[in-house]
Amino acid sequence: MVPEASFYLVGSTGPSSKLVLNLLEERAKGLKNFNIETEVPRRRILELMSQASIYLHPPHAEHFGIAIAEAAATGLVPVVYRDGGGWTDIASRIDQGLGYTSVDEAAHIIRSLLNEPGRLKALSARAREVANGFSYESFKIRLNEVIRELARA
Amino acid sequence: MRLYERAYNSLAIWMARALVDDTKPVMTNSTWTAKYIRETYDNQRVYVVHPPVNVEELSSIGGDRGRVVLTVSRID
Repeated sequence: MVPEASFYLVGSTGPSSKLVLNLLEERAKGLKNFNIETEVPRRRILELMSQASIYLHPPHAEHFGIAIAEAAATGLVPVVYRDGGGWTDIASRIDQGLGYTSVDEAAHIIRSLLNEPGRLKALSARAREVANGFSYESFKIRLNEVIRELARA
Repeated sequence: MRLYERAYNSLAIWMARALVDDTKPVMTNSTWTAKYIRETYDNQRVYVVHPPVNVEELSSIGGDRGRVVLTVSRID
């Protein structure tokens, strides 16, 4: 659907992954721009993060979405299913146009971003800004606030 | 939301309210989860604390970015 881009799916697998991997390989047959890498070390993920412009999150609602926050911190522009914490607390704060509800919509957003390098660059900077709110320092400050509030109650 | 999802959610809400003390504070990892806790448990003492990520390490990553789209996910 977006032949001008290279897609990388990277992740860990478990005992129940064989079925999904077989299905993915079957569907990806003939696609030259789709790559799957399993059980890769963190340094490989960081390497791919330094080469990628866009982070695509699969279509299910995450409670928060650490991978989305990490991608945003690296400057990748996240394209996220329009539900879940990854949408409400991360991607929608970067730009309301980064959410999808169908495969076609996701493809359209990715294509538009790739065709607008200026917008992609601006959104990358905005992604980093939003991700700064998820730093260890921000976490400590917020946790401290909550504990103080609970202690007062 | 599909009909069976609505039916499941209604049942889950009914059971959750019967089992849980809705006066206790609850900490959640996103505003999305907080909304569900408020609706499900009828609990208004919900505090959102986002989990931290290593921004210091990740923000230094840059490079010659191309037309690459990355997905990092557990595959199962």
